[in-house]
Amino acid sequence: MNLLHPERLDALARAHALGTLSPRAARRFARVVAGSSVAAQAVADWQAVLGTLEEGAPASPEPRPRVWADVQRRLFEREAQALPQADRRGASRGAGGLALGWLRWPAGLVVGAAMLWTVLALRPQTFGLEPDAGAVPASYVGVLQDAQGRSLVATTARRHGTVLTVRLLRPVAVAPGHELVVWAWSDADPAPRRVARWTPAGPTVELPLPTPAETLLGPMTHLGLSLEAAGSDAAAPSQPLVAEGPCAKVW
Amino acid sequence: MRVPRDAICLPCGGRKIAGPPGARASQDTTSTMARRTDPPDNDDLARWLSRVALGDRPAFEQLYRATSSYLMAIAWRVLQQRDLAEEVLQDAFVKVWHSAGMYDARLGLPMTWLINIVRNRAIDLRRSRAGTLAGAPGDAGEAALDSLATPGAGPEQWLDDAIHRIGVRECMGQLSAAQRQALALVYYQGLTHVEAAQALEAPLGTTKAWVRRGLDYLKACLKGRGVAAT
Repeated sequence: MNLLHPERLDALARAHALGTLSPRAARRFARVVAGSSVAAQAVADWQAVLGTLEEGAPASPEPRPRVWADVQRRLFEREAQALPQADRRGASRGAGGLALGWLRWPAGLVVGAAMLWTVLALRPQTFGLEPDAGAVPASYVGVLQDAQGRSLVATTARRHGTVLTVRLLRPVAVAPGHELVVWAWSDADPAPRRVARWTPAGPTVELPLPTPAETLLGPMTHLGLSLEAAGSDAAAPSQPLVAEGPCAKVW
Repeated sequence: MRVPRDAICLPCGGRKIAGPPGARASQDTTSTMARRTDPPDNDDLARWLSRVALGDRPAFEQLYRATSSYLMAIAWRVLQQRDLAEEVLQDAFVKVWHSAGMYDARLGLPMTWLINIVRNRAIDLRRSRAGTLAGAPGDAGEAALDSLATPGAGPEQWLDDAIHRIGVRECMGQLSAAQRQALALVYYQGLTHVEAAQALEAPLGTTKAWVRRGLDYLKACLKGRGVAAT
């Protein structure tokens, strides 16, 4: 059955936006939407129509502060746990605890040194060191080509690093008030995600990544380069990509 | 039909919205009912979302502060229970953090995107709690029927308010009361067609047709008013 037939698509998009498709049909149609811009637009149009009905939505209880606290706990649990534990240690330390603390520190030093040695041996990259194996460190690498198939940009980021090194292989004309933006996306999720932005001042630049490369680029399969207005926060490229290429894992 | 995003999504464009009077009280009677808050400006939302996509936590908090009250109302409307609505809000913002990069400005306004995340999650939760929620499957839409029977307090009133505010009252006046009721139950409370048919004591096929016709009317009315175009 051709789900993209206009009338059928409209009916499905309407039901999908309204939430009346059966779970199975909804899952199937969601796959269609993910792979078809026409279907995605049809759903978006119905969502916009339904959005007008929010004008009549009633008042409700305010969300309690714990909701935001729980969101943070779920997302940033490790850091959230680290702080209270530190606090608890400090709070529970009375006079006796202080004396015990002095006795504890040599043992802590030994344990800490052992942990440091283990980390250095197994994960030297944690401290910016490289494994002594003569091998290229595990990295994400991209070579982006323009529409004529010419290599325009090379990018590399260490697997657990937070810096993207970008090398312009050919000059790129960047008009005043504009900048270059690197985007990444995957075959499974074609929505691009901004990786880094800069105004070229030389052939090579090191750009900070908002999260470790493993987190940001791990799921990605493609990289793209676009010209954007400087400081623009557009969630997607506003113009056709200047260059594009695979996001390869080299390890 | 292609809907121009900046024109059609009135609640998402920062327009002033007064809290409708007589909204049905939550089952959690200890809570205070907040007035419906104005939705934030979509430009701000788009900016925050793009930063959230890059892992910017302050932007994430700004997004939460600006939208949580508004989105809470949507979850609460479907679930009618404060704890569950808050659970939905929490789930929704966790999803927003992970998938902000998937928001596509070409397809719709950020508030529409957020509303759909919350509404879909609320409907999922409602259906997964079949039999334990008022108005959920198994309860034969009793609460939904009650809300329709209470003048000025339920989904039908919310629909009327919306129709009035978006300026399509005359056009939508051509819909029968049953059509409006069916549309209101399915949209505002997330009822399935079966549940709506049960609540309205109408045949399933008829109920489906009411909902479909109601939505087609709404789309046509918006288009006729000049806020939608092909």
